[in-house]
Amino acid sequence: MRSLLPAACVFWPLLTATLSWWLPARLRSTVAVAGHVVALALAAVLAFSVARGGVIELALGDWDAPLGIVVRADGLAAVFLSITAVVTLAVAVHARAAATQPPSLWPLIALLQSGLAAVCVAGDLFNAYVALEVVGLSAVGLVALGGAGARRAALHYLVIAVLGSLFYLVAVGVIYGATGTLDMGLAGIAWAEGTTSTAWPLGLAAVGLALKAALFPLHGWLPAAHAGAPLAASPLLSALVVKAPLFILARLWLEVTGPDPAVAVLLAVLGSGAVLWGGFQALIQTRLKRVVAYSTVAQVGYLFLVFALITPDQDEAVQRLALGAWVTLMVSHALAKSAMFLITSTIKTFHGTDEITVTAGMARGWAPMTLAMGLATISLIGLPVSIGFIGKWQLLSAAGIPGQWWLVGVVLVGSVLSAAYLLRPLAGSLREGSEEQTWTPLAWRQVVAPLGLAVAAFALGLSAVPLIELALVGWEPM
Amino acid sequence: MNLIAALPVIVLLVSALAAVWIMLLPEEATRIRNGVGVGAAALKLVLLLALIPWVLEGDYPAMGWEMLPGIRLELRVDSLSILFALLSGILWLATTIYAIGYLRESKNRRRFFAFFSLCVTATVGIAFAGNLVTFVVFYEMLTLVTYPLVSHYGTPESLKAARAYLFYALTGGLSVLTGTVLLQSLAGSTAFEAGGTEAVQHYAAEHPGMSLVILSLLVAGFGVKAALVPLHGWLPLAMVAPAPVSALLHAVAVVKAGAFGLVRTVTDLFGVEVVHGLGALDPLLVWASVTILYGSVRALSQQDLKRRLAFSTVSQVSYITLGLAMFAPLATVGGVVHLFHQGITKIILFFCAGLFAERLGAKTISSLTGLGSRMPWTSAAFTVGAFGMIGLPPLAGFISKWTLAQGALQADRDWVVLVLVLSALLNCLYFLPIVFRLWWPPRGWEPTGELQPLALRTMLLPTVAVAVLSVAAGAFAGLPLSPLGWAELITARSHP
Repeated sequence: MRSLLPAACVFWPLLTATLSWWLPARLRSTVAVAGHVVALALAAVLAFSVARGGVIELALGDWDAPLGIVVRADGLAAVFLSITAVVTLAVAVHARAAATQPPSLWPLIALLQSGLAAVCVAGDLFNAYVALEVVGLSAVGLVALGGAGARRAALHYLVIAVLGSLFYLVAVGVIYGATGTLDMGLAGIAWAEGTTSTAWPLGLAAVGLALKAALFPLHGWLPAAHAGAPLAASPLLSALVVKAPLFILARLWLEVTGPDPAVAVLLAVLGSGAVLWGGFQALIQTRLKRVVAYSTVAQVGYLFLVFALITPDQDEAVQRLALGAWVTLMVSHALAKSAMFLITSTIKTFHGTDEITVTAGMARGWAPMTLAMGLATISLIGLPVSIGFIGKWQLLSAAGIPGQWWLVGVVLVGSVLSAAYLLRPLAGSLREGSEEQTWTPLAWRQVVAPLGLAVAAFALGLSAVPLIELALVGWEPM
Repeated sequence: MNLIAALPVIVLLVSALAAVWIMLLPEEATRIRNGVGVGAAALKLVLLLALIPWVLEGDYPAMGWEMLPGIRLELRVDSLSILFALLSGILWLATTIYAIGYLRESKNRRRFFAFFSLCVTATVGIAFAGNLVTFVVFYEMLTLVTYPLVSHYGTPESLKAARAYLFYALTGGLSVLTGTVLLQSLAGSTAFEAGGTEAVQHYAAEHPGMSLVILSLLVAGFGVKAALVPLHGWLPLAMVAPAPVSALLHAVAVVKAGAFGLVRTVTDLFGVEVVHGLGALDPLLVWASVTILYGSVRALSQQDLKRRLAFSTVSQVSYITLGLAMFAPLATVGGVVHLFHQGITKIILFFCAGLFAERLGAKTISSLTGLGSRMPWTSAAFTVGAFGMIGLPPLAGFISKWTLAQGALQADRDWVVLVLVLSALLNCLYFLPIVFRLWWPPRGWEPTGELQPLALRTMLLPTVAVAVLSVAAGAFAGLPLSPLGWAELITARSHP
């Protein structure tokens, strides 16, 4: 029974997508939200099951690898599945409460969720490729829903996505050629025994996945895509879509090819560049959505440079801290960033503009939204007691113990930058005076989604230990 | 579950829940809000007093839980915690009453009082922190919840000052965080133990270089809030905040939190001997002395009353660091007791400044002429506060300075006595003229301006009450449970 859970998490959203495609437009949103609620329940059950009983494995059709395809849910998959479900539900609820959405939004969101779930549980390299493509294509579709202005950015994103997948596919080909199998577990064993240099396939895959994840300097497509994307697309794009390639990279790094020193250095350098460049760019922006978009570029940098610490020459304690940091930073970013995008999109819809100065008077007029913005900001900067703080703590520990002072420096500078650019709109909300906008109070269902996400990001820091223990189920140090 | 062990959490929850309740009330529900604010403050004070018997016995109520694998958030009420927490509790009650009067016509009172409650939650959390990790958590929380208070008026000037404050505080916090992470990861523990943590001392013996770096990070980070020169820049700027906020920041919350952090780091984490062994004690002493003199000199040239008081705070808080940085028990007693005495004395002055500003619009020194006859109670309280700052017996300020001077002699640092004398002289130079102005206006002076009627009792009562307290703390310093007696207890426990 429990072995069916990973497959169920992939097929249920697919069913939701199909249903919301067939049904007339006025029923779609309700069915979609109901579907996402069930998806969240499934993800929760899976998470509990993994926490209690360990890794779940299922050979589809009872055909074992290498002939058949294996679907596997370990701790990392369980965490990422849960986060996907939470964020997707929140976005769907918010989109439903806001203005009427284009009817194709609902099937696209559900399709995206299915693709993300498939990325999580894929035990086969080619399955992972297919899943990445599904994620990419549905994301392109979501961006394109923004109308004529977004079409160009969507097309640009499509090219990027396909190019990235191509790099990954070539890498998979190299691995297949060397090991003779596409199953991740078996390929990992065969690769360790083989003599092929890890640098090439891992490097190629890393470049392709970095492209899809908007790692500096390949990040140019992201702010443009965000600018034109509609209300529901931006949170999903930053919070979830760019995480999927990172997940696949983790699989390759931890299970398949293993790490490579040259690629580790590359990721460290580019990751640091992302933190600093993204932070600097965010500081000079004048529009809210762009600030938040560049913030994503910076945060993705952290998620890449952590890989430099998960290498065989590091202690088990350091590897554990680094992986824990990776997971908690992912969770923090997913929750807090989606909250920020929901808030900034609502502001933009309400006032017609997202200039930073538009937030004047928000603290008084839209107090719950300001609270949500504040809590999300706290998690993104990494202040206590949020899950972002836990992530930052673990990252600093993982860097401090082996004496990697460059990383400590990057994290500190990044923190200062993120405080600087995230506090500008928040500070503006406390402003009183003539430049104030009028803020008609929002209905509770328009506030509940961002507020819930932000509170979750803030409060999860208090129960970080169960989260980290879950994420490490099935992991073994190098 | 042991009720006593749960008391630290309950004390924190009292003000946290008060904050939530206040936030959920509508803006117009003034009477209920005032009731909740004052009630919570009073309840908190009672609970804190109830903790004293256990702490006296050495039976420290403690409670914690796991925040990260292997790292615990720990709340522990020891003798130093009680001193700081009681200071916060007493002054919070006084300031709440004062603020109710001061802000009775202000906008956004709901937000103000909610964050006010959170501010004290954070301060008591800092007081009760049982290890450096917990300290950092509440220290950063303090930064965040004081921000809306500093920027309360919402004017461009307020926002600018608040942004500077935030920038200083977050950077300092980052320095403290880095030091804490390194210490926890490398030494294995950051728990506070009287006289120094064994794990930390062991690490310092084996890795003196790294320990010095960590110590410097912690001291510099705490030094920002404790207004050590040149990290003090935010303090005069923050004077744009309403008077209750300036009073709270300067007497209780932010500045004292920084100083408290220094006390904990030097006495309960590394231990004074280890800090001395790392060669950091004398530089810290010099740094404190420079700050004391610099603050006083700058205060001389300020014409705005609150700014003069701000620089006076920069100077006075460093007495605590001065006491810490001398290798003598009496000096430590002096420094620790000054934490309490400076708090209760300084807050009187800020309360008076607020009263002068509200009733007459008198914000500069020159506009205070002749107010002794027009606002006698306020002027009397101000005089008591000023004498306390100068250090005249039998006031509380005298007790701390006398003890510090004795400590300096005990530690063979005679030049520190000179610093203390110089500073007292400078204090005279910038406080006495004000006192003279108040009571003895020049001949031919005519009163100008209308005295605004105001909620006299709510603002004057706490002012006078705290003034009486500062007299009592000095006059009755010989009693075992006086602040001085308590400071002696704390020092005795760290030098077993």
